[in-house]
Amino acid sequence: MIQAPHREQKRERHMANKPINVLCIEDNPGDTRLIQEMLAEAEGARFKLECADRLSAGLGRLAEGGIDCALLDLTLPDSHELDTFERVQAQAPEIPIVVISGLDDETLAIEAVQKGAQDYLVKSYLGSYVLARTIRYAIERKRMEQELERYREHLEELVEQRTADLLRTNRALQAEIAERLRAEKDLKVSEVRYRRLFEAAQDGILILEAETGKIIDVNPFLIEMLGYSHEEFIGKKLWEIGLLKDIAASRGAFRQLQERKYIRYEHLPLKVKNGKRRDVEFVSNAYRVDGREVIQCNIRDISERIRDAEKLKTAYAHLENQSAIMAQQAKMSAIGVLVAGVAHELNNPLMAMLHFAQYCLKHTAEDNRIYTVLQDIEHEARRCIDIIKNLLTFSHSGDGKKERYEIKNLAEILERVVRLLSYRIEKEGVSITSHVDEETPKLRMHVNAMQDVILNLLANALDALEESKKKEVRIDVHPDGDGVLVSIADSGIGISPEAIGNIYDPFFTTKPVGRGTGLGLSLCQGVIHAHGGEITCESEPGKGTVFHVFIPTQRRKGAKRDEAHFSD
Amino acid sequence: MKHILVIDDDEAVRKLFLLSLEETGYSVYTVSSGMDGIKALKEGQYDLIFLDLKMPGMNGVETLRELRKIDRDVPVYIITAFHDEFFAQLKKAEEEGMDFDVLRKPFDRRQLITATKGILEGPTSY
Repeated sequence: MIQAPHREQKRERHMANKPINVLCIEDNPGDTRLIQEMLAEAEGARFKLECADRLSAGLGRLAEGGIDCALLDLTLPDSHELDTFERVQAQAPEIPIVVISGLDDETLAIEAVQKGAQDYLVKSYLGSYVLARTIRYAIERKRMEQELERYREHLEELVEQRTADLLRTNRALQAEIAERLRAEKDLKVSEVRYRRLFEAAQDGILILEAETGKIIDVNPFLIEMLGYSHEEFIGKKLWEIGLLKDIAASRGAFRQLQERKYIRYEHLPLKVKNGKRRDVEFVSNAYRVDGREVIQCNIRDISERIRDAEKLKTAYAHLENQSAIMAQQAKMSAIGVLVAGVAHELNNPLMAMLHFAQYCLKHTAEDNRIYTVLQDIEHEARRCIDIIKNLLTFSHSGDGKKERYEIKNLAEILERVVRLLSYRIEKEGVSITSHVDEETPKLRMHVNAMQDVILNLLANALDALEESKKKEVRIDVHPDGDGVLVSIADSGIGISPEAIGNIYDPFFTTKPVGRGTGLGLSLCQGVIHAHGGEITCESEPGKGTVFHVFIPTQRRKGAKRDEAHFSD
Repeated sequence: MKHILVIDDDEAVRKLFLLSLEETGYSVYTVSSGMDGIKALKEGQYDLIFLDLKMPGMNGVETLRELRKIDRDVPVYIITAFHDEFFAQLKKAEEEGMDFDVLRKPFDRRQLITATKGILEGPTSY
């Protein structure tokens, strides 16, 4: 801010003995002299008078500067009346002008005062005191006038500046207002956009109040997913709705979320309104909005993904099972080829041994000690031959007849087998009860092979009963799903848990040497699989064993298996 | 005395034929190959021929074809343990009208004698 010149300082200048420079522009030398005398006499101030008898000379002197006040006669040889005043004023606007007039032109002097002269003096009334005072007052007045002018100018400047400041501020304010409006609009847009996302999201979204865990918003997708209505969600805590099984754990998890601001469950089972289970992925994080901490939970239904994974797992298990079966079949096939080769090679020598023993027996007396030994040789040779026969049957390398499939009733085969074994059943005191459901359908099967299966299973049952007190066999035949189930249960010694895993392996046997080849069940399994069926076993040592044979009425689709051939 | 020709590459089998049938009262001549069998049939008269199916060189079916060229009527037992590989050939020979019986291995002394007598002594002897 510009400081106004200090009045006191100015006054000091006048009070000091510094002379007041007065220029008197007057063409009358008498008047000039008079004025000079008066000023010299004046008290309280020192005047230094300079004179100019022409306007041009006065203007020239004024241009040089250093004049404090001008005394001006309006009527000069080179200028007249107000014109004189105006020219002086134009030359030195800062100098106070006192007009000196005669009695006759006082009106003109007054006009000059109106135009800016400080004062006027009438020559006839001039006195030393009046002159000095008039000059000093004129100077003072002019100075104050100028000061006022400066103030006015300064004020204008200030106003201008203030106005500019105000304008600037105003513009800034307007810009800010515009900015705010835009921001508000943006916010609205973003809110709408968020809302739309929230409403249209294909994931469930839940907004909780972070502090309490109360639900403050829920999107339509989640309502659809979980079956609870909007009202059932709002204001409740997540674990109060019944979605989560473990309430304590959920509460704990929520505390964890509050602390860490983030929680994620890859797989969370939820119970929906209708009581069904739904598997979801649950991700939630906390953030601050409008000064309030909220938690957003994104809930994605992964039931289908889980189902797919389970399907995949099942399919994989099935595949593994299939590959195990195939490996087993390949193993069996390799063993079959090997066994067939060996069996054929042994056929001739064993047969020859049998004949030689029989020849010897024929030519040895029965009371000869050798006779029984020869009998033993014959017996053992026959045993070998029987084993070879079984092996050849097992390896399917029989007579090559492939067309032995017939549609038959399993019950018939069963009866025939029981008849075949009736001698042994009676001798060993075994009671056989059999129950055949009348609805049991006929099956397409290789009759001889299936007869071998039943024979094997029944003979095994009889073997198992040899050392037990209770000698019972129960046979059940009934329709089961898309096939027939045959169960043969005995009350025998049972199979030990260690052995039960190996019972279908070829050459595995628990029977004493000479009683079993270890091929019976392996053969059975081969035949049953060739019919698209299954054989399973349950056993309790000391109580008994049940074998279940399932044969489908129709070949399963996809299980296109050539009908195997079996020897008679 | 009835004459029997045994064609089998296995010495043990040839021996068992000799042991079982000679003392039953037959004359038994054994050879170890199809070629030798054909030669024997050309040189002599036989009432029954046992012919092994699986032999190195000429097998039973091939030998049978040659034998039938020499003697259309002599009874022939083909001895076999039923190998799949020969089944088709055997069936073909049958279809061609060649006459033969099958003796399935393994057989014991009784079965052999019964089979032999069945041919040589007629059905009444069973």
